[in-house]
Amino acid sequence: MSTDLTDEDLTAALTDAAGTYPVPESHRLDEELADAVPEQPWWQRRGAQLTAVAAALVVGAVVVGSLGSESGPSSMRSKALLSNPSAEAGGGTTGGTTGAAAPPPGSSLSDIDVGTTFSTEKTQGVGGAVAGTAGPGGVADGARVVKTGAMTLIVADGKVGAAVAKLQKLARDNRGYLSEQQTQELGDAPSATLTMRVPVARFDAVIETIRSKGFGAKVVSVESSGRDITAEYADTAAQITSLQAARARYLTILNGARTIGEVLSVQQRIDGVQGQIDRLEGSRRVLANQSDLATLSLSVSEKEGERLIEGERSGFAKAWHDAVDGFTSGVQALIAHSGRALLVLLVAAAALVVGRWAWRVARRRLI
Amino acid sequence: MDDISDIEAWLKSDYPTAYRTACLVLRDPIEAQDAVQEAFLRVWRFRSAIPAGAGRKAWLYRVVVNACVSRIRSEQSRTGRDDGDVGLERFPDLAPSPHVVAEHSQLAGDVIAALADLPESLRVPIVLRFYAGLSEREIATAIDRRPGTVKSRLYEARQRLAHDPRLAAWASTSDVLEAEAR
Repeated sequence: MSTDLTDEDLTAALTDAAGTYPVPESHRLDEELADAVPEQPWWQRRGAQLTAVAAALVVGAVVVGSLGSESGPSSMRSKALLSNPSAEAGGGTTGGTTGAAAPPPGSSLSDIDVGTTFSTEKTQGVGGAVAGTAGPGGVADGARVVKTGAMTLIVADGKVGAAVAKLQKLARDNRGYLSEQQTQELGDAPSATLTMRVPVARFDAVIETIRSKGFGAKVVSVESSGRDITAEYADTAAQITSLQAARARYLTILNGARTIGEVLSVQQRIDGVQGQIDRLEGSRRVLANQSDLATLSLSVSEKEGERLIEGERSGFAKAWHDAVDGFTSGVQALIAHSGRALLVLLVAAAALVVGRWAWRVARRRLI
Repeated sequence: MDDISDIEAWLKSDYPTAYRTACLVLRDPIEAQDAVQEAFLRVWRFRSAIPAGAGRKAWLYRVVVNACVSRIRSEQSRTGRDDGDVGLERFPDLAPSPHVVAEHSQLAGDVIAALADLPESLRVPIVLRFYAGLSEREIATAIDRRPGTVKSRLYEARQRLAHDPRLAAWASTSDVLEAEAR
């Protein structure tokens, strides 16, 4: 037996058949949570932030690794100077050196992070017990102060390398390290620019040591400043605690969610809270790092060299020499940074390829 | 795509149709509810990938159909039965109860039973076309097949339904009523 089924017949029949299935209540909790959290821009989404952090960590690790394994005459000489304080730069036949000195021996990036965290907790605990007492660095226990400073040093001719080595040792002795180092030992005006990170409590002592006669450098200028971030840090920590409690409550609600509307609404809330927690955790880590380790910028140069050059040249000759110096420095900087830039570009290209592949796979799985 | 409230409104408005589509495909309201919930969660999670304009309906039903098919497949692997195409007998008979059907019409029960006898490859296109209201091109997107394939499957499904004695009886009645009306 055959039947002529028209489109209208089929539509009516299937609609009638579908109507026998009552639609379940699905938006009960959705209505209760009607004041939905507005959608965050992509750069504030947790996934994007985690991806960015992961990419930054990968790039950072690769760059640090490449610096650690960097080889060549300049860097070898620089390392020799740093590892042997008695060595001098008198026979300077090497070019400029740019790079970051490693943290204290035996430590790694993760070690420093762990140490910082430990130090933070310890300080907080002590501060809670004896609040108001001053610590060795003039900072009350429990207080968090960001200390920064800058010093300009003049050393005798041929002593820049030795001074850098002494500063490296001084940082190590005070449980700190040189986070940046740029030395120029060729030419008429050898110089070095360093950034030293030392515990806040030892910041003043380090400055005094450099100023002492025994250090062998004339201090031309000293600048230092401090900023109390205790309240800011405590406020951030309190917000994190509060948001974590809110997230726990939402997770409890999510466990009891039964419908699509419930799950969507609660998940949306959790995403929003988690994003805020991640941002605040990042801020807290930055504040902790800044207040655990003071930053001291150091500029080291030779007095005689400066005087000689400035005294001999004037007018067009000086301008021409400055121009040549600038050109040379620019080319050197370009060459020095080209390797790192190429590496970063390669890593970024690789990340892009992997990201595109992952996106295609995720999209294929989604649909 | 649109902002979050637009997506919410869109999902809410399409939920009943999507749920009943899944019911007709799976013939199990509980499985259908889970499938649609899973599909909507996927859509929500990947909301940035939702195509703009008319394509989003096909996209939504592609996710829904895939969720339904996944459930059928997992049921197959759980029971260890796999005879190629999937029949509705995989699931326990949770079709609407007789009194619910009676509230609508005998036709509803007959259609559901006739659909149950169709293989999944024919059942899905016919439901999407004549219940969800998708065009042949949208169905092609939803089931990831060429429009020509969709057209032939729709034709075959219609032929099978037309030869189903349960619907034939209904059609005869319909013809008589139409003749009387004329």
